[in-house]
Amino acid sequence: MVYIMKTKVEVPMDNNTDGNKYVIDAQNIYKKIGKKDVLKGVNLLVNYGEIHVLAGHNGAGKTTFFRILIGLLRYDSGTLRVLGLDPYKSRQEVSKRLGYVPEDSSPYERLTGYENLKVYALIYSDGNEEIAERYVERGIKISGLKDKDLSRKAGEYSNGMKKRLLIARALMHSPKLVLLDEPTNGLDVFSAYNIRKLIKSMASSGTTFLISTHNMSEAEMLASKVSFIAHGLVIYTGSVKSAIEEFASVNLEEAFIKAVGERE
Amino acid sequence: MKSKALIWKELLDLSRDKRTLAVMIIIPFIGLPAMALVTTGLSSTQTTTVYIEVLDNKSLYIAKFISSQVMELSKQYGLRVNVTISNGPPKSIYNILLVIPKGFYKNITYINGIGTLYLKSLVGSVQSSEVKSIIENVIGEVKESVVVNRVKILANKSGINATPYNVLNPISISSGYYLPSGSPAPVSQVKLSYTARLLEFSLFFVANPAIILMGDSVLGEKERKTIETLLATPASKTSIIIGKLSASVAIGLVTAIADSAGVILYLSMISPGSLKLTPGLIGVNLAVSALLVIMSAAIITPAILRSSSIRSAQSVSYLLMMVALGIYFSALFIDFQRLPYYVQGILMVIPFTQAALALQNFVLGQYVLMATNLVIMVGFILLGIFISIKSFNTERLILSK
Repeated sequence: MVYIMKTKVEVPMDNNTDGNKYVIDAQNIYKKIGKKDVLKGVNLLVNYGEIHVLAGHNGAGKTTFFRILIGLLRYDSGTLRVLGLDPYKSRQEVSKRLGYVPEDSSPYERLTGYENLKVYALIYSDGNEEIAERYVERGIKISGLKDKDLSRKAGEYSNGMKKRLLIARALMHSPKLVLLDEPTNGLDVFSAYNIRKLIKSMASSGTTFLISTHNMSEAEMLASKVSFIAHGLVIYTGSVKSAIEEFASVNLEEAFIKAVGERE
Repeated sequence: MKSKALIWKELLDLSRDKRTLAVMIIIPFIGLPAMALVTTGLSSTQTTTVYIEVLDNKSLYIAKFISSQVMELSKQYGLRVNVTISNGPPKSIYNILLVIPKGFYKNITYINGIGTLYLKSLVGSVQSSEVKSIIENVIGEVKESVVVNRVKILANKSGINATPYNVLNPISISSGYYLPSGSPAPVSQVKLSYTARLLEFSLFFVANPAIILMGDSVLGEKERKTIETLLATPASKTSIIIGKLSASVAIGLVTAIADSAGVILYLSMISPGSLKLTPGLIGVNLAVSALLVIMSAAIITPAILRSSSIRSAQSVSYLLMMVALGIYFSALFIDFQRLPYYVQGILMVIPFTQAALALQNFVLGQYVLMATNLVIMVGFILLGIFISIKSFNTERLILSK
């Protein structure tokens, strides 16, 4: 089914920065998994309200870095603040104000779309039914899914619908920071377009996004700021325009290739 | 409160896995009694054939007596028996052959003679051995009547006033049963104790579902790619474990009751009248089963959290189920309390032993010991949950392949 979102989602956001200068402040983050040095001193600053795209090739360390930002993995050395807190030590506190959609994830397939939203709404609202219901309503708006789809099991959804449901589930509690790992990977043109439209719409309401992708065209379309990550290091951070100018390229893809080439 | 949401989610998720639930509930509950029906049905339709070859004409009445007694007793035990008496060798295959040779009557009526009977049964027939045992009992009756006559003759010849029965049974045994407290136990207590042993064996079926469900609940999330988003929510490790444990236990209880009922139905159908269930025993069995379900789920959780895949969790679960099977199968034949202390010590640290002991102690009227067993089970539950929370490592869960 081809579905193009026509409405802009209006979600009121709290732009309070809690006195922190950056949403993400990562300094010299190292991480070894098994015998491999996956991150070799990552530095990254993400400002409030921006769509920051972390662009890199497969195996560059994007997913590992995301998992560290959420507090699922411990970093070996460096300093890290996400929303002003160390995510590994304060995973629960950070996760209350954060939304996350991993690259390779799925909704609960035996649950309906509505139930998927409801479970997470109850978790984010700490069991408060009233607040949870508000979150669900917001989630339904964000997902753009129709009533008949919401009452179907998520296992029957197309990949695009599943992704929209996952993003809605990550956004319905109005997080200050949203991490999307390869959000359009494996989606058809229409689904990918809808997801990008949704991200832009939410960002305009004040949500900060950190999005990882290996698709440079997508990075160019979405980013207010872009960082190149290669072989466990962030090798460049700036606007899309300045990246293209700095590496004397015609587009971001060429800029990325030149940036990585310079390092090798 | 987050646990409540997670319990709701787990219950929805597990209850919609219809195929697994069907395998866990319907197969034991319907399958085992159906199997018993088939077994007893087939058993009741098979006929055991007995051939009595009488080569001694004077012994024909003995053959007829044996035949009528065997037919009557077999009927009482629900066995179908067909007896043929002839003076020639059998022309086809019979389950049991009894040969009364020439001179048999003369030998048994002579004061010092020995009459020999030849009793043979077909190899590999279960029912033959039961009928053979009935024939041996009937021959025992014949033997007793011969001996009584011989005693009468000897008493007459020697002029002694003796009652043949007393001569043959100089010692009378008055047997009975007693409880560990020393108080006498009625015969019905023996049946109750036998029933308790069968219930102990059925505990194996009670422990199983929760172990399987807990594995699926934790590692199923990993394989279905839902764990990472769940771990990125504000749900604490404790609420995730409690949520998964509670749902596995709830569905595990339903399946455990169905499985346990299936086993009891099966056993009561294959040996009718041998079980005795009292409200007390049913109540204690339910309490023990409930604790066992929770305990099984709680003690498997740390191992599941350390497993890298459903397959490796299944291996650990299989190992644990084998331990449970070992304990509950042994409970059919072994008195744990009568074992040497060092063996008891080893068995006591195996959590499953406590459930079997609780039932044994109940039927023996040792209520304090039974309560101790239940408290130890609660201890194992708390220990399992504590270790699970402590060993909950998001990095291991995410990165393990």
